Amino acid sequence: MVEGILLGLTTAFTPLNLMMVFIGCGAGTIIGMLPGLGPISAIALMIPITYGFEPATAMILMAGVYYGAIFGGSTSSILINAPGVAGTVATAFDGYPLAREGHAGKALAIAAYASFSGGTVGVILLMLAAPALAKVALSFQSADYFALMVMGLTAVSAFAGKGHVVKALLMTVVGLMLSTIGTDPSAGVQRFTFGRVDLSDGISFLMLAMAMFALSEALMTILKNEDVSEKAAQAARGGMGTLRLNRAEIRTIAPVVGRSSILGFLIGVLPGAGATIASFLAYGMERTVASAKEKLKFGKGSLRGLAAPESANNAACTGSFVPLLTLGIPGSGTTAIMLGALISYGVQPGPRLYTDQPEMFWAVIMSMYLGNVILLILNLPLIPYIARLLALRKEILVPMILFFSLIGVYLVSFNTFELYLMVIFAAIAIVLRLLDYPMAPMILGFILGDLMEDNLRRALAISDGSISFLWERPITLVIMLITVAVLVTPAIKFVRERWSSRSVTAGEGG
Amino acid sequence: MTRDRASALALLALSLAYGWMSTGIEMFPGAEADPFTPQTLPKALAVLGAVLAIALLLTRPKEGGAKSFASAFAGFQWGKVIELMVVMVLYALALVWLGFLLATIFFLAAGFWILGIRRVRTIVIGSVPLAVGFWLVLAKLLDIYLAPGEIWFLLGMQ
Repeated sequence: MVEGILLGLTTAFTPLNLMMVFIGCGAGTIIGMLPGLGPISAIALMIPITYGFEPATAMILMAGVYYGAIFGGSTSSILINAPGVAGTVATAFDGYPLAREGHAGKALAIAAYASFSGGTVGVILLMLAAPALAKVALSFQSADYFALMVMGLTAVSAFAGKGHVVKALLMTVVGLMLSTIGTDPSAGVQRFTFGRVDLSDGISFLMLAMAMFALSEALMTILKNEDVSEKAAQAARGGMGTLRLNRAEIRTIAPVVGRSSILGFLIGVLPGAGATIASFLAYGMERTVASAKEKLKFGKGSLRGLAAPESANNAACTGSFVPLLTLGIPGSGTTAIMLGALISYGVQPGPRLYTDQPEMFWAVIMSMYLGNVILLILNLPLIPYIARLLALRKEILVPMILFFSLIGVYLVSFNTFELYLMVIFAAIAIVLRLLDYPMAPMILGFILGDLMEDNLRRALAISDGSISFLWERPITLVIMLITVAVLVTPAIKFVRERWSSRSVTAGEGG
Repeated sequence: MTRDRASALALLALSLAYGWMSTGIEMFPGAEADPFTPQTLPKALAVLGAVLAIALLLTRPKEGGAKSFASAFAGFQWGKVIELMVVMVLYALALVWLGFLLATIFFLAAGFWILGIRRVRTIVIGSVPLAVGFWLVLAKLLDIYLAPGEIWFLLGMQ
C-alpha cells in the first residue's frame, strides 16, 4: 500500500494536477454555493473542460469539484440558510443560528475543520477498504455484476425519492430506457433512433446530465423566483467574526468529528445512501447521545450539531468512491456522473483499475486528500471574499450557467441537434421535478444501462438463457437477497400504513 | 386527477409505446432462438415500467402527490422560463448561421434582458467580454476550429 501511496503522490504532485485540484476546489466552491445548483451540476459543467486532459488529471479535477461543491454548499447554508447542496441541509440547522449570532466566521471554521477531518478519516478508510474490496471483486462474474447493478439502482431509488420509492424506480426504468437508444452494442442494429443519424450513437451522457441537472436546476431558480441575493449581500457586508476556535471548543467537537466521520464513511460506501443521508444520521446520532442540557442547544447554534453533519457529509463523499473505484458501480448520482465521464475517457473503473492502472487509482485517492488540504488552507481564509459572490444577481448568473451548459455540450459534438434535445430534456426535467420525481436514479439508470445489458447478455449466454444465474452462485444470491430486502422493506411499511389507515377509516364509518 | 395518477398514466403510456416499438427492433435471421437479443432488455424494461406505473396508479397518493395535476404548475414564472428556452433554441440556430461570437453575445444579452436587466451598460459588460474572451481562448489559445456563420458565406464575405 505504501508503494501505492507513493505512486499516487507522484502522479498527483505534478504541477498540472496540483493546479487542477486548486481550480476544481475553487470552481466547485463557487458553483456549490449557488442555491439550487448541486455537485452533479458542478461536475457536469466541468466535464467538457476535462476532455482535453489525461484521465487521471480529469478525475483529480472532478474530485476537487465534488469536495468544493460540498464545502460551497456549507457556506451558503451557514451564511444565508439556503443550502446549495442537499448534503448540507443539516449544516444549516445549527450553522445559520451561529451566523445570526455574529459567529459566522467561527461556524465556517468549524465547518472547514470538520470537513477536513471527515475527509481525512474517509481517505484513510478508503485506502484500507478499496484495495481489499477490489481483490474480492476480481472473482466477480457477469452474473454478480448484473446483480450488483440491480442492487445499486434499487438502493438509490429506495433512498432518493423523498419516500416515493415507486416514482424513483420509474425514473430508473426511464433512464435505462434512454440508454437503449442508439446502435445496439452486440448485434449492431438500430434501436429507437427514429431513423435519425444523430441518434445512432445514442444520447450523449454529457448532454443528458447537463440538461437534467445544470440547465433544469438553473431554470428552476428562475421558475421559483427565490431570490437570496439581498440576504447574501447583507451577510457579505456584515462582519464574519473571528475564524479562530479556542481550546474548549476544539475539545467539544473533536469526539463528534471522530464519530461522525466513521459513520459518514460507512453510509457513503453503501449504494444509494450518500452525503445527505449521512449528514442527517450524524446530526440525529449526536443529538441522541448529547446530554439533556446539550440537547436544548441543538438547532440554536450548537457547535456539535454543526460539526456532526459536516464531518459526515465529507466522509460520505469519500466513502462513495469505494464502490465506484473497486466495483465500477456508482452508489450515488454524483459518482454516477463521474463514472459516465470516466467511461467517455476510455477508462473502465472496476477491480481491474486497481491492478491495471494503479497510478490512476491511487492518484484519485491522493488528490482527494490534497483537495481537503487545499479547502482548508486556501478556501477558509478566502471565504469572506468568496461569499461576496453569493450576492451576485441571479439575473446575471443564470444566463451564464445556461451558456456554459449549452456550449459545453456543443464543443464536444459540434452538433446543434444535441442543443435542441437538451432544451427538450430540460423542459421534461422541470416538469418531472415539479411532480416530485427524483432525477438521480434516472441518470444512474442511464449510465449503468449499457453495462447492465452487457452483463445480462453474458450471464444469460453462460446459463443458456435461464435466469437461474441469479441464484446459482452464493455471492449473486446474497446480492439479490439484499436487493429484495431493500425493495420489500418500504413495501411492507406501505402496506402496514395502509392497513392501519384503513382500519381507522373503517372505525369512523362504523 | 391527482399529480401522481396523471403522471403515472403518462409513464404507463410511455412504457407501452416503448414496448410496442421494441417489438419492431430488427434482428438477424435466426436470432429469435438466442437467449439474448437486442429486443430482450427493451421488452423487459417496458414490462417493468408498465408494472411500476400501474403500481403508482393504484397506490393512494400522499402529500403533494394527492394535489391536482394542474396545481403542480401554478404560481411560477413560466413566462421567463419559456422565453429563455426559446432563446436557447435560437442560440442553437444562431451558432450555425451567425457563428459563435455574435450568437453568444446575442444569447447572453437576450438572457439578461428576459430576466429584467434593462441597463444597456450592464448587458454589454456582461455579454461582450465573456463572449470575446471565450472565443479567444477557444479559437486562438486552444486552436479549436469554430465555423464562421453560414450567413457570411451567403453574403460572400468569407
